[in-house]
Amino acid sequence: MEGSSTGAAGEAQGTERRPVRVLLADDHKMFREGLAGMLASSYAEEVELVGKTDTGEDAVALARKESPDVLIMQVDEKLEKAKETLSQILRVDSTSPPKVIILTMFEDPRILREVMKLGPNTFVHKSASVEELLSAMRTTIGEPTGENVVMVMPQGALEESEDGSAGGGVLTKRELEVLVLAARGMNNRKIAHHLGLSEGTVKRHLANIYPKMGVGSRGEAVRKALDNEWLTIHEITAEVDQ
Amino acid sequence: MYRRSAVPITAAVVCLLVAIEPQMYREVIALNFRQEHPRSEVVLASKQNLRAEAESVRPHLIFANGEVPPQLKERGIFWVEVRADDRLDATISANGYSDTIHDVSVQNLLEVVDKTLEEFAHGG
Repeated sequence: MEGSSTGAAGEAQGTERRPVRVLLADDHKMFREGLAGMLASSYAEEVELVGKTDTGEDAVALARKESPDVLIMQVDEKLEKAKETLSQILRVDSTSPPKVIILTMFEDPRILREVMKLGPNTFVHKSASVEELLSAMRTTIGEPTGENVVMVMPQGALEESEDGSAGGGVLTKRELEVLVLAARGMNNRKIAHHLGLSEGTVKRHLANIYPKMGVGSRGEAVRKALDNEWLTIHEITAEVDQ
Repeated sequence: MYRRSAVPITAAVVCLLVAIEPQMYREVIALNFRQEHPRSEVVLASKQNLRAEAESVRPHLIFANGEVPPQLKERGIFWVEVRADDRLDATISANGYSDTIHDVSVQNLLEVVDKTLEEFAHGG
């Protein structure tokens, strides 16, 4: 764990803006050190790196000590661990929690969906440029409500997420909506009405869903979706105006 | 591993081809190289155009993910292959010297650049 106890350099004086105080948590030493060096040398007026670490425990401790404006955190396969770390950091100062920027290498839409559940303000894929990362950070800082999520990710991954071509039976957003409503016991006509689609389109979505999931019926599809945690009981039992 | 020279090597000009993925890593590494060795030529390439860039700029040292194409290795170029796992591991080959570093750092990579500068400082 490497922290700074010097406080925010260049505190606001008159109209001068103080640098954004950033905490960096990333497993890869080369990137962590490299980005730290880069920020210190080329972006010192804009960004003050108050700490960097490769562990969740240290990230929580540094957040407690430094109260950063922004947490840049890598998320890899250990999603549960990331979730725990984030929740602890956001509890450190519940009145003014840091804005969270998640960095990841994931492109699989299913995993991205899980990552988004961590509740970041910003999501940046590592295939983005450093300038895009900084631009996303500026937007995040300038977004007062925290209601919008800033995303920088490969266009290909977005397209796969939309059209379901990611392979391995990934359902599109629309197909998931159809599946949820089917799981709630709606027939095709009601699903069509609810989603503003034609009945034929609903049938087509279901026809696409079954082979993708390797199932032959609605019942099997729902069971498999629950087993794989693509759907939750809450989603199925949530009240809906039928 | 090499130790960085206490005396900056400023006279040499070498070409470093950085083809590490993803782009964010590539840019961060390249900028650190440029800061430490402002006289060196640092060229960025994606994995897809590594070979074409290598043919074009004739680098002294290549940083790449996975395996550097054998045709390039045969030219006596120094190279570093970086592999991503939980941590980043790097295999280094420089003038007969080879080493593998677990959780490689910027400092480690700069040491390889130093070695390259020493070797090629006088047009070698």
